[in-house]
Amino acid sequence: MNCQQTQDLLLTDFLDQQTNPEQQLQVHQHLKDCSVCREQWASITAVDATLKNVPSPDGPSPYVWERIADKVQARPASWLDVVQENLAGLIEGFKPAWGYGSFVGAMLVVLVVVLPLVVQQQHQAATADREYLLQLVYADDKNAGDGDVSDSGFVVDHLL
Amino acid sequence: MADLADDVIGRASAGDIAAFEEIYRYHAGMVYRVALRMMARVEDAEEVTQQVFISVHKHLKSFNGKSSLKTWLYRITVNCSLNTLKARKRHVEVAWVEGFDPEDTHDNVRETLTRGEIHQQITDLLEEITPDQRACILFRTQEGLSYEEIALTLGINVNTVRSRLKRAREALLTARTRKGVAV
Ligand SMILES: [Zn+2]
Repeated sequence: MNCQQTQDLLLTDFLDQQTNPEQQLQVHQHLKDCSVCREQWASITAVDATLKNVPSPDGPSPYVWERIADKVQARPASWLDVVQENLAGLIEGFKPAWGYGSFVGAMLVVLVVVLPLVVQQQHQAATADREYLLQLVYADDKNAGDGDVSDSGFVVDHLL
Repeated sequence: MADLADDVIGRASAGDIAAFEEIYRYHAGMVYRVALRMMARVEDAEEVTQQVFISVHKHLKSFNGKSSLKTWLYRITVNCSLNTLKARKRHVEVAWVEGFDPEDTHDNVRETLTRGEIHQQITDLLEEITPDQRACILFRTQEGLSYEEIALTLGINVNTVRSRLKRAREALLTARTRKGVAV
């Protein structure tokens, strides 16, 4: 085992005790014979000790729980959550294959879902307008005493 | 700390706020610790802790058990922290463009861990490595997760864990030599 191979193991599996017995023996053998790698090992364990010996922070302030409790109690699951979750899931689902295309995908889905609703709404609004005008025209015709609804309909369509 | 009761997730998902608070008390320290080491700023760590537990509350029904909750907590904490770091990077870039003193922004960004010497040391060290490497180092060194557990938590393969740990430690060693400090 050369220095490079040894140091690769020192930085990973050997330090993290993931080496098999054979690797372990080879590393120990190399360390016995090589002062450069011994020095490197001393540095690696020193850095590791620094990271391990850091005391845990005290924890979040009490306000964090208060804010969480306020939010989860004030806001039971609504239809908006369901939409958000599904949209997030959808975007997540697109990710591996599409990457940034996920955003485009989500927008397409929004278009497919929302566009028909908008079109339908406009159609309904137009129908309501048509009926309203039809009523006016029909009422006039009735007043004239000679109503022809289909002709009036044609007039209304023309107006719209 | 006493272990969580087996039925605590079930009770919390049925709307029992006391059960949800038990889950919070049990895991908040770990979530906060990882978030703080990832981002170095108390405000960000508390914000991420809040986001994580609100998310937990929304998804309580989907946890199979306490261990799946813990893995999920680690994962979402790292993801929320990475998102916050990305947003912060954008913020710093914007500040630079708009003519603010970038040194000021930098100081503000890492205001909190500078209070104690040890915390200063670890903050400086962890700033030497990328956030992805930082997550691996934290999980291995401070949380004691195995390579397989880190891979599962971060959704990467074991060899990626190994290479991130190697690069992280190389960078830390270089920083140590450069700074000439006894860490
Ligand atoms: Zn050697």
